[in-house]
Amino acid sequence: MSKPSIADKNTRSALQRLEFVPAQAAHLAWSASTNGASDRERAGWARQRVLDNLSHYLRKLEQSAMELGVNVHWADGAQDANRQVVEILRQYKTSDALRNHNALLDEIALDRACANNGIKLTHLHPGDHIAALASATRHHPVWPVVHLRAEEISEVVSQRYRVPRTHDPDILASTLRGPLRRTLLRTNTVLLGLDFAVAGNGALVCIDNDGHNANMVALARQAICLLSIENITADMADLHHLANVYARSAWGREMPAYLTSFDRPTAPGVDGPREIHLIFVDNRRSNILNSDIGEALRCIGCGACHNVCPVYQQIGGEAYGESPYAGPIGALINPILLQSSASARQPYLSSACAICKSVCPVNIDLPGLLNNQRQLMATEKPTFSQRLMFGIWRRTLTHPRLFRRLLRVYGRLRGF
Amino acid sequence: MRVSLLSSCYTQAFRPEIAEQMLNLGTLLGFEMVAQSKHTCCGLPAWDDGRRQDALVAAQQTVRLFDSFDQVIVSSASCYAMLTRQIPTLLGGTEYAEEALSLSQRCRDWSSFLLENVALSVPEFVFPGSITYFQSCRQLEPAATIALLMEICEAERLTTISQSCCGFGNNLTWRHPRISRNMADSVISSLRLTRSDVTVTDDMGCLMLLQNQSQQTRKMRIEHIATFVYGLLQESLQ
Repeated sequence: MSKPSIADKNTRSALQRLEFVPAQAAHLAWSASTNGASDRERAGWARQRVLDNLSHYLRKLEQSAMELGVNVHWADGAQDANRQVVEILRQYKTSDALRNHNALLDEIALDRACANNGIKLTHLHPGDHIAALASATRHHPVWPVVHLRAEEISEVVSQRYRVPRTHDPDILASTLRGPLRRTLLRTNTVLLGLDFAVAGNGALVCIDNDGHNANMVALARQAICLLSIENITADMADLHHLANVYARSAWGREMPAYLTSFDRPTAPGVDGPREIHLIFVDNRRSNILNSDIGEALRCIGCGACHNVCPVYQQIGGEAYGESPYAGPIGALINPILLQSSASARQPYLSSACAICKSVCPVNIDLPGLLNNQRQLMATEKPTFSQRLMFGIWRRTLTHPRLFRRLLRVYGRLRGF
Repeated sequence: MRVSLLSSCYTQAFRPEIAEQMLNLGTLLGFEMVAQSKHTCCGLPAWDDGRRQDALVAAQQTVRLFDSFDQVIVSSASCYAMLTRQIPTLLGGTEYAEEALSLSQRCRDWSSFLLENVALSVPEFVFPGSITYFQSCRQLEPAATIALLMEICEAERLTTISQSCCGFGNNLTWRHPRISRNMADSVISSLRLTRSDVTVTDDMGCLMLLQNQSQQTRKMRIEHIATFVYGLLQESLQ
């Protein structure tokens, strides 16, 4: 694997600011809560109890959804999921669709699949929309264009919508809002990556801080929902708890600004989709669940570990390959998710500083699991340099003078 | 009471004077201090790299070498974390399990050892300037070091930087030297912003990387806490 390159200076300084803005906001929100530790514990437990009995909750959710009139589909991999989405869109004879801000849709590269099949997909989330206009990589799960400077955003918006350049975020947002809302009004089909689904009552849930999901659900005629199989909560109480800890860690709020929940097709004359499709996407999650790092599936995608990861702040999201998951959680799951030689050594993109562990709202032992993955790799596929280095290290452990001399040689190379 | 110093492999190879200073201070406090010269490494680099078997060999050797001491003083926070947290787990279920657990209980980090055994709050022993304590990300029990620093410096002149990583851990200087250097630069910028007269740390990895990297630009004073305290003691004795 080639060494990951250092991100450019602007990206690095933008990613380092994450530590001072969202990470601080999250820190304050967690500090303001009187039961921070028990809230984390409860959130971790709410996720773990679903993972421990995943097939039970999947069946329960499938049953609840079908009873409410939702069409349920299952997809093994990304291709399968994309094929099913395209087939459903063809049934509706539509070539335009809207999508929300969601990592699963990025993970399966739904944008590319739609483009290849002549379907125009518009991002309703302003950040994602800007990223699409600028053809920029999204580096962060919550703040997709955090690495773009105001000048760059102003440039792409003014070029696309032929408006004067401005750095004023209010003017930029209202420039985008007009055309996006017009698209929203004329588009009948929406593609929604769900943040959660509730097994007990079949509620399909999206959370965001700008209301784009609520608008999509209210105005759509047909909703195609994609759910990664682990994003299930047992009941509404767990859902609300997880939504609140997500809001704390992602935005520094006590609760999400918008929690959009829907469960069944609506009757004519009532807002909401007349037809709902729910596609369960596995895409190697079963492999993760059955591996040593199953606990990683507790992740709710709040991005808190990204905000504090010093390695991620230097290399940015691009170093994690095609996956939308970067930072410690990306380094952990990408080798299984992507199954590529480029992603295999991502668990080494860590300084084992464990700061991510201290901010994770669902108590994932990220440094411990990353170490598990490194142990697996060191046993199964040790590199030549690793074998050489530790071969010498081990043989000289009982020879203190030689050990120190060799260490000094190494240090000289590194300038210690 | 027999007290041994467990100096990290980096201390022995690159900063042996720090081990000397620790031994001298221990002797001054009236302890029979022994430097275990046969010791090489606790196994942390191998453990971080996923080389469990290699880490196991080093851990067994460490446990064996320090079995006969009443107290083991550890020179570096990362080794201390390895000895007290990882080694008992690593050797759990093996013939060394009991010794590993016993060693983890006999281990002390250098600051708590000093704090317990010396009355530092004498007027001569006050540092007049300002101090930044760079808390290593591996330092799991920073309270003793902070308490020690508060004994020798007024609280308003003491800054602590925690939840930060210098880029030394997990063999990053070897695997990804560029990332490691950049991380160190970013920590050094934060340290410069504090405008303190001296930065102290209790981790050898942080010390070496930060000292080395800060020399690339403007010189700054970064010291191991043992060196810092030893320097103050020498000044007050003169």
